[in-house]
Amino acid sequence: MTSNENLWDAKLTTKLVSLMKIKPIFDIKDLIIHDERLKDHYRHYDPLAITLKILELIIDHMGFSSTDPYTGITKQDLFEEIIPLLRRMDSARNITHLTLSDHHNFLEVILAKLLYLTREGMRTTYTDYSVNPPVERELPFRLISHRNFDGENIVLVAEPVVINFFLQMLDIELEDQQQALLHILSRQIKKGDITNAIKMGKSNILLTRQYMLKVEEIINLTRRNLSTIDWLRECPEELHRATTHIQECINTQTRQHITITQRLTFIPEDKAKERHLLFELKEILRRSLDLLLTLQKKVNEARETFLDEQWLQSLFTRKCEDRLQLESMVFDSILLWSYQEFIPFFEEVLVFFSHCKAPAVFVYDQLLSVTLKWIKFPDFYDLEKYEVERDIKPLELNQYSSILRREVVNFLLEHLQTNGNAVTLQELLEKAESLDKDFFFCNYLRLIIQGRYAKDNFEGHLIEFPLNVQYYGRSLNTTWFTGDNYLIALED
Amino acid sequence: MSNDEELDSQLVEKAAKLIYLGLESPPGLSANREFKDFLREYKNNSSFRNIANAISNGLQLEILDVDNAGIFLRPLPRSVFAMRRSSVKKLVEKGQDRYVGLILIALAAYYFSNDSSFDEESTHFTSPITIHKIDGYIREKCKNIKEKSKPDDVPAGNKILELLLMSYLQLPNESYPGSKSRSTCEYFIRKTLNFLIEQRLFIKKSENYWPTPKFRFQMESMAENDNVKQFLRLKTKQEEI
Repeated sequence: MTSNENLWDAKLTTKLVSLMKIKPIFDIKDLIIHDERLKDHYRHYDPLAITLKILELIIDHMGFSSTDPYTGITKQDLFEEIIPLLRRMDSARNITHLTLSDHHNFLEVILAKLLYLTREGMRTTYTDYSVNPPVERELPFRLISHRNFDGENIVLVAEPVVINFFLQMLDIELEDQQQALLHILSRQIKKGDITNAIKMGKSNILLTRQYMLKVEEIINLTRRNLSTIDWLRECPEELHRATTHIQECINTQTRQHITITQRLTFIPEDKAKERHLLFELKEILRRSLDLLLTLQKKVNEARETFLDEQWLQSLFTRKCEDRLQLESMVFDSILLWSYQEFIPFFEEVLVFFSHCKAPAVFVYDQLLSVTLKWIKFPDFYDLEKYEVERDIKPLELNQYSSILRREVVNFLLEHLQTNGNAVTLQELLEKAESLDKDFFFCNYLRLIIQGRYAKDNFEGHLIEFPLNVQYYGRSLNTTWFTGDNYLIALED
Repeated sequence: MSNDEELDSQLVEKAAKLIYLGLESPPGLSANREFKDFLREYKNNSSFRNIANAISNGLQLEILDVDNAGIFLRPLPRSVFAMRRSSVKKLVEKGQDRYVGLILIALAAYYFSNDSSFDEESTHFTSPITIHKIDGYIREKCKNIKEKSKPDDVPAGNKILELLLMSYLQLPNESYPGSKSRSTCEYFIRKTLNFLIEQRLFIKKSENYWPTPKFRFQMESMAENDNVKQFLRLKTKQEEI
């Protein structure tokens, strides 16, 4: 059974709450559509962008700069700073008729919306699944609020939620993130907060994996096409940074690993739970180190890959210029062709839609085995068996064309009638060969005779004239066939 | 390769086997240990590469690419390996190639609409397609061209009915009541895609059809092919006259 903690981590609830808190900011996106007053005049404004700018201005003025007179920003100052943005939105749509008061009106509405949420104390509910049964909790919060700064000036300040939201949106380099994380991990180990250190260690592994993907991408791109990446400046720098960073990480984590190992040796036997946690952390750190070492190897290989590929790909430069634009140049134009015009083109391009396969070649052995599959002759030397075995398969002559059949039968009749006496298969085949008949002709002839001897009814290919076929020893020896010979005569 | 260099018969056999694997392209080639060995040899050993190229040239083949996914060959025009219209009878009988050919080119245009679609970063290539989607794409194209084209471009009267776009637009949908299942656009698209699956250019998973890397190489080779370019150039010249 999964424990509650594994099913829904408390960290996930924190993330859920963070999402709920910034939801009102996104609600402002649909502001104009609902508000009748704003519908016509201010359609071209992007309320979400303006809201973000407002929040940023408020946060920027909350004492981060020493020149700010207040902690916060007055409404007047805020409007002054934000109106250039509105003007830019105006000019993008060539709108000139909006005045300064129009801009003020619009900003008032947005600010009112933000403050309205605040005055109400914006309540929302969420369900916490980390406990069993799940509990529905209320979430009161504010985005921005008015604050009386010095008795004279009312300023706008942002609530911690918004500040956190903004800080999280800062892009931090992957390397820096990992360094920060390792620093936190070291502090946690120092403090003895092993439970959180384990979580941090897992996050660290995730970051290393992410970093590995980045390096792998460079290597893959190098392998695929060198020209798409900058190996002159960008990649060497990136790899150098990676090497330094990985070495630093390895050093820090080795120290951490040693600390944990030492602590494990001194921990009393009776503190089983603590021991268990320390073991888990040690295992995580070891895994992380393994991963880092693999990564280091990959980074070192990347340069070699580049050197290998450099001369390899210079040999196989693909011609990239002067390619056909398949949509505009090919597809669009063929749509305006007639079928007759299209056929030769289809013939030309069909090869590009086909798998390059070796053509099947006629092999005599193969044909023989195929034929033998279809036709079954009785074993002459074992007549008893022949008597028992009655399920002889009919000869499949259907696969030959009827023209061939007619030719062969005519040849056979002609020869038998002119000759009067009986002839052997050997003579017939020799005659056929002397008349320059091909293999298929001779084979068909042979099959008919052998089939008739086997008293086959030819399945719809019955020869109308009566034919008497007798076994004539194993004396057949022609260019194509050797084996049983037959004596053939017309029946009276 | 210099003349006095003694040919290593084992190396030649290996190179020939590599070409053979390209012709056979058995399933699971990328996992084949022998193929991996050839691949490494091909990448690292220049004389092996020269021999493989020489063999393929002699066999009237061109090596498009050799990578982990396999070896991609293309027959040179009019070689025994090249497929002809007459060898795909079931696709072209009764003038069906007017639809099948159109759909083939449409698939190429859909995935590689312009030069940049051949870039390694292009993600469009890795997306699947459904029968419905490709039908929608072709119909939209046909309608757009019909509306946009100048009156001079499109022949008047009966002749307009002969255009490929008109014949496609006249194809009924399967959803249209009373339409025969053998003459709908879905039927032709399915038939074309099945042909491409046979040719290992597409694979099917449930309702989705995914192009294979081979498809990309083939299309790239088509876009760069001089014969095809020449054909289109001549065609435009004819029209101008």
